[in-house]
Formats: sequence, C-alpha cells, structure tokens
Amino acid sequence: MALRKMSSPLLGKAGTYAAVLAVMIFTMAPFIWVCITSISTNKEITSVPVHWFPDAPTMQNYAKVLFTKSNVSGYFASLSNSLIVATVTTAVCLLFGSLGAYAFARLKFPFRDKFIIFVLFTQMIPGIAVLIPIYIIFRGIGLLDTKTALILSQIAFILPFIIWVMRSFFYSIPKELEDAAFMDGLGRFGTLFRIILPVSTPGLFATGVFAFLNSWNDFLTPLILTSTDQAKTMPVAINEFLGRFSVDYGLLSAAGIVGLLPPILISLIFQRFLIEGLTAGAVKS
Amino acid sequence: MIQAKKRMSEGRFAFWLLLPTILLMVGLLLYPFIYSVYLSFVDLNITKPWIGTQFVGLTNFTDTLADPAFWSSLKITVYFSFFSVAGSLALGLAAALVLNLNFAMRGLFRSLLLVPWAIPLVIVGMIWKLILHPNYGALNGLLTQTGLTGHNIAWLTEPGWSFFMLIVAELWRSFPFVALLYLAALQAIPKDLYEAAKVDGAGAFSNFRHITLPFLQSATLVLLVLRTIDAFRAFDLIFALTKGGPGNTTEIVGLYLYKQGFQFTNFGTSAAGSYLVTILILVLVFVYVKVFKLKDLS
Repeated sequence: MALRKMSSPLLGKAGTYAAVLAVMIFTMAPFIWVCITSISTNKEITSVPVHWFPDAPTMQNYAKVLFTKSNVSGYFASLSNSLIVATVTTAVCLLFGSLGAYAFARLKFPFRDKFIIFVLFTQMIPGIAVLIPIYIIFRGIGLLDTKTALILSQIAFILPFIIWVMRSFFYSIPKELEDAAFMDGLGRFGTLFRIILPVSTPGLFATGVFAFLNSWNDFLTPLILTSTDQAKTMPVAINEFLGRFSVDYGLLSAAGIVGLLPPILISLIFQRFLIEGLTAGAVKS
Repeated sequence: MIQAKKRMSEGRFAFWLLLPTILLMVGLLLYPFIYSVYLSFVDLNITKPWIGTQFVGLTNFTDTLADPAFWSSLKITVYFSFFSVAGSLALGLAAALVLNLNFAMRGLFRSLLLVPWAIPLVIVGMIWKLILHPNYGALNGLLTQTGLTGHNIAWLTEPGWSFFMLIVAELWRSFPFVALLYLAALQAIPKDLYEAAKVDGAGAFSNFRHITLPFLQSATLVLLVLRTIDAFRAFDLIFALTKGGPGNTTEIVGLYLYKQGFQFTNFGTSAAGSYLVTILILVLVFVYVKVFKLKDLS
C-alpha cells in the first residue's frame, strides 16, 4: 500500500506544525519546568523575576535527596521500598493473573460469566472502601507498616485488572496452536507453559508494565498502611516533603524527578507493548 | 504419531489455574468487602473502648446523608468529573487529530505523550504546586513578564482559581490516555472512505461528522466509562495539590471519606459513605452503557 500523504487540507503544512508544536509544548512544559527547577539553587528559584534557566546549574539538590544522612535520607529508603513492592506485586500478579486469564479465555467452568463482572466491579470501587477494612484487619494481625501488607493490598486491585487484559489477549491466540500441541502429546500444563505463554510475551510485557506502574504510583494504600521508613514508599515520602520541606523547592523538584524517572523510563522502553495494550479495547467497531 | 495423553478435564484444569486467584481474591477482597459492609452498620467506638462495638443499624448511612460536608463533596466531585471527563475527551481528541496528521518524527511526539501519563499523581500535584506558586512559579512569571497581568495571582488559595487549576492539572495528566486511544481508533478508519468523500466534493467538517465520528463511537464509550470512574475515584492529585482547600472548596468525595475514616476515626460512616458512592458510580456506568447501546440500534 502506497504511503498516503494526509497533510490536513484544513491546516496546511505550517498550520500542521504549529498545532503539533502547541500539543508538544502543552505536554512537556510542566515536566521541563521541574527539571529546570531541580538543577537550580533555591536562591535562583526564589529570585524575581523568574530565571527561565539557572545561571549556575547545580546537582546539589540531587545529592541532598539521595545521599545526605540528614532527615532527607528517608527518601532513598522509600525508593527501595517502592522497588521491592512493585517488583514482587508485578511478578505475583503476572503469574497468577495469566493463569487465571487463560482459564477465562479458553475453558468452560461454572460461574465463568459472573466472575468477570466481579472482576470489573473491583476496578470501580473507590480505594477507600476496601482499604478501611484492610487497615483494621492488618492492624489486628500486626501487619501494619510492612511491605508485605502493601504487596497484598496492591495485589487485590491489580490482579483483577491483569486477568481482564490478559483474557482478551488470550482470545486472540489461534486455537489451532493448542490443538497442535495436544497432538504432539503435551498435556494441559505443558501446552500452557511451553506454547501459549511464550507466544503471549507482548501481552505479558504490557500488563507487566501496567502492574509495575500501578504499584509504583500507588499513594493511598501506603498512606494508610505505612508509617515509618521500613515500609514507606516513594509517593508517601514525596507527600511528606511537600509538608516538611515546602520551601526547599530545589529539593522537592529533585525528589520528584527521581521519583518519576522509573515509570517514565519503563513506559518509554516498553511503549510499543503499552500502547498496544492500552488501545486494544477501543479499536473494534 | 505420538500417543496423545488423556487431557485433564476442563473444569479441573480451570480449578488449578484459578486457585491462587480465588484464594487471593477471597482473602484480600471478598473478606474485607464483607467486613466493610459489617462496618457500615456498627460503631466501633474507638475513642470509647469501654463501650466496645455497637450495632447502630442505618445510623451511619443516615449520618452521612445528613452531613452537609458529604453533599458538598459529592457536588464538587460531580463538577470535577464533568469537567475532567469532558475536558480530557475534547483535549485528547484534538491531540489525536493533530497527531494523526502526517509530519516528521511523528513517532517521537506520540511517545512524549506518555510523559504526563506515567508520572505518579502525587508528583503531578507537586509539579503543579511549583508552577502555580504565587511568587516563584512559572505561570505567574510568564504572565507578569509578558505583561498579561500586573500582579501575582494566588492560584491555589483563591477558591475559584483553585478548582480551575485542579482541572487544568487533571487534564494535563489525563489527556494523553484519551489521545492514544483516539489515535488508535482514528488510524483504524479505512482511508478510502475519505477518498470517496473527496470525489464527492465533501469538505473537512462533513468528513469529520459522517466518517470520523461514527468510527470513534466505541472508543468514546470506553473512554466515558473509564474517565468517569477515574474521576469519581480521584484522590492523589487533589491530596497533593490542594488537600481539599482552600477551606472545603476542592474536597472531593474520596478526600471526604478519607478524612471521615482517618482523621475522625469514623470508620463506620466512612464505610457507609463509600458504598453510597459506589452505588452512584454503578448507576452512572449503567446509564452510559444504556445510552450508547440505544444509539447503536438506531
């Protein structure tokens, strides 16, 4: 098929580029502003009129955020907590979620259609509805302020979503593949692990990224369930910074940039899978 | 030919596949859910432990329904949702239409859309707090240096502006998802439809109405549902940006429920309130689906 030129008759070439520029400025400006602030000293940040780029850019904010032994060192602990919780949650959800999704996609069993409504329902309730009882229950068994508590609570929300997305992905795998595997003597589990899962890696990557992002960005759960450095995650630490260091704008910005880099990098690296996964539901007519 | 093994029955295989999920869901969702239903009918008397837990019937529900702060938060949530959903859909569609055009480095620009989408909401709140700072923020700097205003505006401490800026921040972080979805839908539209319309002499607006829009219907329904649910569940951004302030002017329902539970330790009323909100969300989704299904048939 010949590459079609679809320059808008409405806008013309200049108009097109102007519109693209407008969209890009709107998209990136706030992000660029934080980057600029993070490499400025507070003296420059608080000088009037606004310095659009620091006269003396510096990395001292980042050093303060990541390395000093002062109160701020809690941030590094929160980052590592976030990483551990997100990784474990993602791994567990991917494993159990794909298994479950396969069951929904391929097998017949009682309550199959009802169950999927339950899965949808879990995505609709406000987080606070489930977190209050979870808080009380975990408090009762001494699980408050632990990474385990965070992992378990996040699994409750993320696992149904993974099942939902992977299910539609499994639908798209041709049945002949499994029939052929059966002919070759592979049993149920053999087919699943040696044929189906390897073919599903795009879907697994997409849902894996979703799960990781959801866990990394989660704020309400750790806000409610944690209190000290042993389990606090990055969003909670940032929120505390907003209260405690509200006038140290350079510090805030540097902390923010460090916190948003992992999700942004992961999204950009896996963007093809992400976008495919995100848009899968919208394109059927 | 290899002897094909007798396969496990479908039911049994499904059972083993779903066992971990079922265990996790029962323990982490079903049980807490039932417990929270129980919570909504009792008073834990946390501050008066000598009384212990009391069954209070519908009191938690009626207390919530009688609380003006609840209705205020509901009203603010409805406004927030309306502007957030309408705004992000409009903005996202506009961005998608632009990105659907042919120009250099199109892929790169599409990737950059992921930046606002991926940032943790608490950090989005922090970023906008910095931008909106009355004395040192970029927005006031821009406005005063270009002469558009004479003085610094206290965006987050003036009730009207505070809500407005909350919407702006929310639109910034949510339009990329809408844009990406619409972009995928736009790219699925067969090009020859436009060719045929060109032959017939149709203009750009007519094309949009008669060719483009119908293909966007299913995407729009999906987006309406997802964005509305998202808006009603909003919490992180508002907590970080305004904490519900100034006063209560941006206190959305999630924030109200949080305060009930964890500031006033009214777990019962918080649980009851969250069920009222859940019912509301379900009703909305139901309405959306019905409305769009009806359009489909006509």
